[in-house]
Amino acid sequence: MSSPLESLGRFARPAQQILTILGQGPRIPAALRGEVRARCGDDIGPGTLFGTLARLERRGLVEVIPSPAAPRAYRITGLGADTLEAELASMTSRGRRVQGFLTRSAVT
Amino acid sequence: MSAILRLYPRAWRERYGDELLALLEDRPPSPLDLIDLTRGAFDARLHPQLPETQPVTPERKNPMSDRLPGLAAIGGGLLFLVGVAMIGLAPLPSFDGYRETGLAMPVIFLSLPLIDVALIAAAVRRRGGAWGRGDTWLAIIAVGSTAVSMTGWPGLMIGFLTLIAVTATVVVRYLRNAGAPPWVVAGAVVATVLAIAANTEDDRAWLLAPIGLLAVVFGLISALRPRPSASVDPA
Repeated sequence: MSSPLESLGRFARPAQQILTILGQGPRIPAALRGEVRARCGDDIGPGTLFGTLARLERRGLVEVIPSPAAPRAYRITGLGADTLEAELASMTSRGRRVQGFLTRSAVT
Repeated sequence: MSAILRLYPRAWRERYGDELLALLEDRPPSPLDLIDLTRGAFDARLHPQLPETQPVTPERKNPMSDRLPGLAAIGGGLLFLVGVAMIGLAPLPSFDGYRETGLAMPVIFLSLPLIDVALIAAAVRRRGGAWGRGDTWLAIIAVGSTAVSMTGWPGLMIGFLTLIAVTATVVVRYLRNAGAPPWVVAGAVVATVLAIAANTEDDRAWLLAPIGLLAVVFGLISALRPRPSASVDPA
C-alpha cells in the first residue's frame, strides 16, 4: 500500500503531521507549528508550514475557517480525514512488513 | 520582514501574507526560519498552488512591478545600441582586419540577458500566470552564460554560444505564447541566431541596430501598456 501523501515530496512528512494534529480539532498556524514541535520533535519552518498548508488546501484536505481577522484557523475536511486514515493504514502496513523482515532476519 | 514577503508571488501574499505575519509575530524568525522562508518563496514561484486570479483594478493597473519587464527591455535595447555604436564608430585599423572593439562586446553581452529576462517576464505576464520552472531556468542560464562569457577563452565562446541559444529559445517561447504563426517563429529564430552570431566587427555592425531598436520599442510598449487580464494557462 503506497502512501497517499507521497506525491507531496518533501512536504509529505509535515503534511502528515499537520493532518494528524488537525484531526484533533482546528488550529491556527502558530498553534500547529508549536504542536508539531512539541509532539513530533520537528521544527517546521514558516515557509515549509505555509507551503504544506497551501498544498493541503489545494487538494481539499484542509480548509480555512472563515474569519474576518488573521490568524484564521484551519480544519481538516472529510477528504483530509479519509486521506489521514489511509496514510496511517499505509504506515501500519509498512511497519508490519519491516517487522516481519527483521524477525525473519533474526531467525536466519 | 516585508522584504522577504515580497519574494512570494502576489496571489500567495494576498492569501497567506497576513497569516504568515501573525505567525512571525507569535515567534520572531530565527536565521534558519529566514532561510526556510526564502526557500518557501522560491517554491511558491516554482510550484504555485494558487492561480494568479486577481482582476485588474484601476488603482493596481500597471504598477512599477508590471513595468519592470518593459524597463529591462528598454535598458537592454539601449545597451545593445551603445555596443553596436561602439563597434560601428570605432576607427578602422591601418591594415585589413577587424576594428578593435574593446568594451563593445561585453556591453552587448550584458544587454542580451536583460532583453531575455524582459521577454520571459513579458511572456509570463501575457499568460497571466506565475513564473514556471522553465522561465526561471532560462533566466538563470541567460545571466549565467553572460557571466561565463566574461571569463575569457574558452568561457567567452561557451558563454556566447549559450547566450545565443537562450535568446533564440526565449524569442520562440514569447512568439508562440503570443500566438504568432509558425513561419514568423522560424523566421525570428533564424534572424536572431544569424544577427547575433554574425561576425560584426566591421561596418556590418550597424546591421545589428534593428535588434536594439526592436527591444527599445518592445520595452516602451510593454512598460506603457496595462497588464492584460489573466487567462487560463493550459500548462
